[in-house]
Amino acid sequence: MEFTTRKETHQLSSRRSLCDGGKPALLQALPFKGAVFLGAGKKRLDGGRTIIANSVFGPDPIDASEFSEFVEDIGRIQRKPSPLQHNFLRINLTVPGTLKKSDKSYTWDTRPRGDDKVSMW
Amino acid sequence: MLHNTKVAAQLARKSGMKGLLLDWETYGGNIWSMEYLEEAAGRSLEKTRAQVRVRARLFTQVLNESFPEMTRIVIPQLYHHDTHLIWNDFCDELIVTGNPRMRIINGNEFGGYQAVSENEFLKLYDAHYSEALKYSSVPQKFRRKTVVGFGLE
Repeated sequence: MEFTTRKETHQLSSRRSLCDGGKPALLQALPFKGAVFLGAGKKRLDGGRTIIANSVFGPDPIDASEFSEFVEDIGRIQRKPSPLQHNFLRINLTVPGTLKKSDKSYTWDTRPRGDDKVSMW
Repeated sequence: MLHNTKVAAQLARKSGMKGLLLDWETYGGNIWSMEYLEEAAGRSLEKTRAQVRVRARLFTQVLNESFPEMTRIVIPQLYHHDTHLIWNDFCDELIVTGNPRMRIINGNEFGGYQAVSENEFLKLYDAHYSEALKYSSVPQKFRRKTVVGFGLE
């Protein structure tokens, strides 16, 4: 379709779209590229399944060597399930602790957070 | 945090990933709101916005050094309306400071979840340029460095 080839538009499959085939007819009709979002973990991937989660790194320095099994497993699934699929490491830009779902309207000071050492100043 | 950002970029590169997905959704409080930031920090709007830009530049420079050819996907979307003023400053710096080889894909998570027809996707595509450019202070680089994507559900 001109829609994708002319304008270089990319489809980003997220969450259920690649897990249970959400909108399958639409995806087949539009020849987009796909993407999978993975959060980094220190353990093996569960049977090669993708981890749809944010990586939330706190202010304490992390050690890259602790993620060696994650790197190894990701390298192993690069070519699956489609050559059009790309993997992305998903990270959250908000400070640790803001990933708590709530209807409450938090302020900067009262928002739930995991570590008070974080500051942009 | 810069060290951890560097490690994240290195993990993505080393494992053969295409790049990073940057998620700014706060799930329970708009920390990108100037109202909250100003109230808490007691600093002026100008100083706060300048500091956000400083941090965004440092963040992006680390990505440049660790994985200069990466693709960055931003969700829920690049730029947002004026209640997310500080996020819009951050977006400017992601675009301006990023390595020329770094591409940014606008994730369009909010609109993409509801779209079901080609016409609706085309409208979202057009909105990428018309809406985001209302809030971008770097329109030429925005057009040159960003492309459109859709989050599907």
